[in-house]
Amino acid sequence: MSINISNTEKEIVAYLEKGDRRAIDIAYKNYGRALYGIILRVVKSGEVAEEILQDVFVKIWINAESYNRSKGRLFTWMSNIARNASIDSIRTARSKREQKTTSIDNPVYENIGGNEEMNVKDFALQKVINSLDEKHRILIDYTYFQGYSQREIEKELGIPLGTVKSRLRLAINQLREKLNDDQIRNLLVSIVLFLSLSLAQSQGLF
Amino acid sequence: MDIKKYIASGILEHYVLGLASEEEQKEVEMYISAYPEIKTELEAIEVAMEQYAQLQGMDTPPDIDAKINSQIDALQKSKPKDSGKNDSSTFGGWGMTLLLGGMLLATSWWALSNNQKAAEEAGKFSTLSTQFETLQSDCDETSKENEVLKDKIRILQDPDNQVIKLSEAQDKYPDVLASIFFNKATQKSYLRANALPDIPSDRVLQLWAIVDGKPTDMGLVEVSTNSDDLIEIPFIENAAAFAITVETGKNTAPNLDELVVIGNVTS
Repeated sequence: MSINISNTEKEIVAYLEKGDRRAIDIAYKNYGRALYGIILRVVKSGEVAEEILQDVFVKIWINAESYNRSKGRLFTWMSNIARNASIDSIRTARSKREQKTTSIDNPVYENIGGNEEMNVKDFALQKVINSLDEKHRILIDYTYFQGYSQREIEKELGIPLGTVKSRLRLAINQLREKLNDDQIRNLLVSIVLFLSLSLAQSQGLF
Repeated sequence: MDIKKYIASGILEHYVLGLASEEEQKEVEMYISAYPEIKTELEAIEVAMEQYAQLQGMDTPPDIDAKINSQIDALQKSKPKDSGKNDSSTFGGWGMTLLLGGMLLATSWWALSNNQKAAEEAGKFSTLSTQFETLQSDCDETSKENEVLKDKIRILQDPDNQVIKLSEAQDKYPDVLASIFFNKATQKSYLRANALPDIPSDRVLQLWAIVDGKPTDMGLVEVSTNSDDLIEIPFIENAAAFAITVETGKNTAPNLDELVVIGNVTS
């Protein structure tokens, strides 16, 4: 999956530049789930999230020319559009009615499930999440998935404003480490699986 | 420009998470085009967050892509559409792919098993570096706090200090207290708000010095009440007294009806 990221990204960007609608189709196929995950974690309602997801892709299409490759990866740009749209939506909703306090510690992980591929991902995710320090995971989730501002983090987690930045760096460093570990492990597992299959084949077991 | 320090500050993470201010964004964009090291680091952060988001993806409701497409169609009825989906990737040559893949994997296995020990060491090293970075940042914070405390002690312990107690001026504001540390030798003075009243958000606390019988503006008291902060205030050599009043804004003359605390300088 990750090996193809850059190619997919190049393809989408090239289509976006040409104003070719295939950009949206490919982007949706490759990033739709990830963006929906972000939106759902911020707005916490499937109905609202569905609307926003549509808006986000329309926005990606309309604002395609404002994406500048030299400023960062495509997904960073798209995820920012998704997060901002989600935050706008809850702010509007908040101003309409007094927002009830929702627990942000357990986003909708339990909704993950279903087909085979999902369970593999679920397993990988659980492994990465479990290996992160709790305080680091919360910090990443608050900012990335809940769209918390620096001040809100300061208030919610009691981290001084001046150290939010360096703490977040440590948290993401740890995430980077874990993701890398995990990739090596996955590679090893797939190699072992392949070797045992070919061994079985050579011994005429198939 | 210290690139390592810039990276360690965490600004790039903020940029990726959309937390950076507009100014910070411009700064980061300038630096990533100027310094390849910063660009590489940014990419690594972006990839990690992207993978994390992909792992936490959620199944989308059905037909969303169709709805998106019809919304875009509606937006640009005039424009010619070309949303052909001729993605005909060939699935032929599977055998060859498998064979080549097998060879590749066998080679990687060979290389990996040799390098596993090195990888383990590298993993340990990187865990230790992160731990080190954590400790370093905790340590930096602590020594910063320590410096502030040492400064306070230095100010408070100076034998040339004269402590002026500003106490309750009228019944309207009971149980209030502030102190001024007045040092003629260093020509510095500090204010501590031991207990000042909570005032409405449209009011301010203003400090005054009485010089030759006339009140002189010493500025607003920008301090939370009950704070043990020491705020440096202008040094006025021949002040006879200090006072704090509640004002509607920064005033040129004190509103004496709203006098909160007052204290004389004893010479």
